[in-house]
Amino acid sequence: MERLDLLHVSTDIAYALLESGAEIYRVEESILRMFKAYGMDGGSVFAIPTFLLVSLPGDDGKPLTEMRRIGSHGSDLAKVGAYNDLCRRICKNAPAAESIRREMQTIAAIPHYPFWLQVAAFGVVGLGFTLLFGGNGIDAAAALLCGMAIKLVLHQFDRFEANSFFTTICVSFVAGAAAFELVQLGFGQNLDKIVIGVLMNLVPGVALTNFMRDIIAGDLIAGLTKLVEALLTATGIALGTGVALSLGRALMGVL
Amino acid sequence: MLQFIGACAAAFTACFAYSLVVNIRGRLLVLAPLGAVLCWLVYLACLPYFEELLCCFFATLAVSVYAEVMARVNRAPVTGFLLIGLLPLVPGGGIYYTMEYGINGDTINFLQTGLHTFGIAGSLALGVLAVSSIVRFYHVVRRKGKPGSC
Repeated sequence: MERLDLLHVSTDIAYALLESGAEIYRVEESILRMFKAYGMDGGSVFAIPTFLLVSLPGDDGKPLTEMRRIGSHGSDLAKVGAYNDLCRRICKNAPAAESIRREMQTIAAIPHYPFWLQVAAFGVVGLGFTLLFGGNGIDAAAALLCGMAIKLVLHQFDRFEANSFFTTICVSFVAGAAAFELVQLGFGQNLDKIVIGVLMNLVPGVALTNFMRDIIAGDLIAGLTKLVEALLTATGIALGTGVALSLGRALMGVL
Repeated sequence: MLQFIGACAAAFTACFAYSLVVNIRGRLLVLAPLGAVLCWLVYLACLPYFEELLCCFFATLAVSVYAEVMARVNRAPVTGFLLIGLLPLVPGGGIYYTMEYGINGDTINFLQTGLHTFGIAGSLALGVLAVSSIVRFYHVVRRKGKPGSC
């Protein structure tokens, strides 16, 4: 494969991996191994959750470099798994660029679950965690409703590409307000259990579990970025629900 | 006993649903939530004997080992198993109660709960750190034997 082709293909794969929420060391290692599989030395990768830089010396000795800015990154573990698989096959067989491109297209087409199922899933996350943390059956039903409501709100925010901190605050506000309202109407008793169950949908689990893995792999900046992300999300959750509950209490009386 | 089974069922249901949210597919859809069940069982089993933070740490160790093994067996990234498996321990409750004390103006409890929440997050991180350091170490030792492997 031409050096320029290899650079383009590997940058595209790294970008796709980062966008689907892969760990930093996985992205960097995958690319370096690809370079090695095609027998090209001297390549280098730098990735953090918001930025990607891939460089490879060209045939004439001049460096070839590609740089990408990464915007929002979700978690799509089906894609992470598929790209990871693709990298492994590339390392083993060193296929031509076109066949890699074709495989990347099939992976990019891996669908998400249908919207109604995602709404239901958000509800069931709330229901399950409310039960797990000691809520009763009616609390769980209330959490199911609130969970479904926050997915609908989240979807609207995603459509308008609102920034994630603001989204978290607003969605937590909706979760808190909906739970407060349901409890006021006598549907559910333990407000705390309902809100906690519903908020498990928003809790920064990915960032929290990955940041330490990045830090021990030596990717300090990436690790810190994720730690800040986790802290911001947690703060956003606390702010949103806090405003909802204190407003509710001020307007409706103490609960 | 019945309580244990109920908790397992709740953990499985919740984490199965969360697996749908992060687009996990195929048999991982069952294997990843099982990690969460393991996590909660270890946590509950430790709870009568140890501090809560230590229980979180042990549960994280169990999940991390489970995740590494499952990732090797299924040739899938570790992240998915870890993310789903550790979800029951992520301190959503801590965040909520900290906020609650905050808006009530109860500064002492606010600080105490806040620090405890940090502690739980820290013990999760420490558990993940311990297992994945050992795994990386093992890989380096093994790779020294046969260089150039991919």
